[in-house]
Amino acid sequence: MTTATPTVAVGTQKTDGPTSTAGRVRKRLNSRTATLVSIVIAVVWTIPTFGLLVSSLRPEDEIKTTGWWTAFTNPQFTLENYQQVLFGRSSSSGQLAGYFINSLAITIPSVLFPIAFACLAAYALAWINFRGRDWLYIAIFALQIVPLQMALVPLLRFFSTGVTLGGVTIMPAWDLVDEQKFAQVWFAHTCFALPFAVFLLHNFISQLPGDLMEAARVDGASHPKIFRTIVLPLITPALAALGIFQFLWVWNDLLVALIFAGGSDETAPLTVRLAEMAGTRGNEWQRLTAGAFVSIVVPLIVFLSLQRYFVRGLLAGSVKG
Amino acid sequence: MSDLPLIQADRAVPPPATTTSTGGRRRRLRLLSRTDRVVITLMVLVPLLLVTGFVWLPAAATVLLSGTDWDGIGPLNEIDFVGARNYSDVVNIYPPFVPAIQHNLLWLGALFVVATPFGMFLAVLLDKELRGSRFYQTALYLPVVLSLALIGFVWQLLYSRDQGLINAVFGSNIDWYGDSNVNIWAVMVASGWRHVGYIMLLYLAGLKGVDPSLREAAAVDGASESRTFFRVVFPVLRPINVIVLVVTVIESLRAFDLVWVVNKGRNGLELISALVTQNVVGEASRIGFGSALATIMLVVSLVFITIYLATVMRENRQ
Repeated sequence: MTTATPTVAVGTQKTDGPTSTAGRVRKRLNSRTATLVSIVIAVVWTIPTFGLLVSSLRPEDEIKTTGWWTAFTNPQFTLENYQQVLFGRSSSSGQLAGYFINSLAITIPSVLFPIAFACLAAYALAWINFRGRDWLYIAIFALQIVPLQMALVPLLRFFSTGVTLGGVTIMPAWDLVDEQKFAQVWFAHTCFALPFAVFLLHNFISQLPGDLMEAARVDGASHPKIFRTIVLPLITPALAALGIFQFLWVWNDLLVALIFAGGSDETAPLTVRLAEMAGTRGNEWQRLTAGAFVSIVVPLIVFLSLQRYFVRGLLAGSVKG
Repeated sequence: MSDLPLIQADRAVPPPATTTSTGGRRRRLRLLSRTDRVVITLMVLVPLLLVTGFVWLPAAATVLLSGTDWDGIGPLNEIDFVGARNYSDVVNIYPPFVPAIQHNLLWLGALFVVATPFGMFLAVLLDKELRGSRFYQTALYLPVVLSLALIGFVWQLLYSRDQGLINAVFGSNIDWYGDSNVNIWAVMVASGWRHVGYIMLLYLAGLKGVDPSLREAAAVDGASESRTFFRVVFPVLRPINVIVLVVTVIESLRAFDLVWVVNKGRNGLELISALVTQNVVGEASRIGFGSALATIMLVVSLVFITIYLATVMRENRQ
C-alpha cells in the first residue's frame, strides 16, 4: 500500500507533463477547486465538535442563556466545568472521574478477550483442516448481523438465574454484586465481538503464504508453535486494526452498558452517565459539554495514533490491487 | 494491499525453527499431532462455546419467548404460550410499529443514497494528494470516533430552538429535535455526519490499493477523470463496495443510540431497535411482545446476511 502511492504521482506526471500547458493549467485549477471544496467541507464538518469545545469552556450562566457562538463577540472562558465534572464532590457535578475509570475497566478486558479468542479460532479455521470447518466458520460469521437486542434479555436471565435444561444445571447463576458486574459486561462484549473479530482475522490469516506453514510443519513445529512464532508476528497490523475497532465500539457503547452495567455507580461507564446527564439537560448542560469532551479524549488518542493500522488491517485481503 | 503480508514476511519472520536430531523426527511428528488435536479442539471449541452459549442460544430463546406473554418477572415455568398473538398485536394494535418500519427504511435509504456516495466523493477528493489533506482527513474522521449517543447531544448545539446555531443563522424558530415532523430528518443528518467519515475511511483505503497502471492506461486512452473513476476504478473496488454496503445496512438497522438519547425513540423518532429496547428494558417489561419485535428485526437482517454470504461465497469460488 505504502509503496503504491508514490508511483501514482510519478505516473500521472509522466503522462500529463509533456502534453500541453493548457492541460497543466487545467490540472492546477482542478486541484485548486478540489482544495477549496475540501476546506469548506472540513470546516463545516468541524462546526459541531468545535461548538462543543467552545461551549465546554464557557461559564455556566453564559451557556444557559446564550448560544455558543456569542463567545466570539463576548469572550468569557473558564475551566470551571472541567474542574467540576472531573473532581466535583457534589452528586450533581457528574463525578466523571469514577465513571472514567469504570469505562477503562470495562473497555480493556473487553478488547483483549475477544481478540485473544478470535485469533486462535481464526488460525484454526484458516490453516487446520478438519471436518465441518466451513460450516463452523459460517455459523460464527453469520452472527455478525444478528441484532444485539435479540440476545439481551435471555442473556441477562442466564446471568441472573443460570441455565437449566431438563432439570440439569448447565450453568449456575452468577449472583454478581457491585464491581463483580464488570464480568457480565466483559462476557457480553466478548461474545458479541467474536463473530466480527473471527471474520476479520480469518480474512487476514488465510492470506498468509502457505509455504511458510508447510515448511514449519515439515520441520516438525506444532500448531501452537507455528501460531506463536510465525503467525502472531505477521498479523500485528490486523490485531491493531481490530483493537481500535473494538476499542471504539466498547468505549462508545451505550446499549450493552445500559443493560448489564447500568444502574449502579460502581460499574456504569461514561456513556451511561452522559446519557443520564443529557436527560436532565436543562440543569447540567454546562457539565455535559465538558464531560463529553473528557469522554472523547481517550478514543481520539487511540484512533489518531493507530489509524494507519486501522485502514491497513481492516482491509487487508479484501482489496486486490 | 494483498502484498502486505508478503512484505512483512521478509522482515518479521524469524529463521525457521531448527530441527533437532533427525532420528526421532518421525515419532515426534506423530506425537505432536496428538497434542495438536487437543490444541485445535481448544482453539475452536472455546470461541464456539462462547458464541453458541451467549449469542445463538439467547437469540433462539428470544424467538421462543416471542410466542409467550412473559413479563420478565415471574418464573419461567408459569408463562403461557400465546401463539402468534404478539405478532398480530405488533401489526394491528401497536401504533409505533408502522412508523418505525418506515423510519428504518428511510434511514437506510438516506444513508445509502446520500451519505455513502458523499463519503465516496470525499475519498476521491482526498485521494488527490492535496496539500494539507491530512488535516481534512482528520476533520472528517473526527465524528467516527464519537459515540452516537454523544453525537446526539453535540448536535443539540445546532438544533436547539433557543440556543441552536441553525435557528440563529436562518432566523427560524424550529425545535429540530422536538418537532415530530422534522426530528427524524434532523437525527438522520447527525447520523450521516458520522457515516460519511466512516465510508470515506473505507474508500480511501480502497483507492490506495488500486493498481496505478489502471488509471495511467485510462488517462493515455484519453478518458476523463469521472469516466475513469466510474468505468475503471469503481469496478475494481468491488470488494470495498460490498463491505460498505454491509456497513451501511448494519448501521441503519442497528441505529439506536442516537434516538435513545434524544427522546428514547418516541414522538416521531420510532425505530425498531428503540421499540424493542422500550419493551424489554422499559417500565412496561413486556418481554414476549418485545421479543416478537426483535424477531421481526432478525428476519429483516437475515435477508441481508443471506445476500452478503451469497456474494462472499461466489467471490471465494472465483
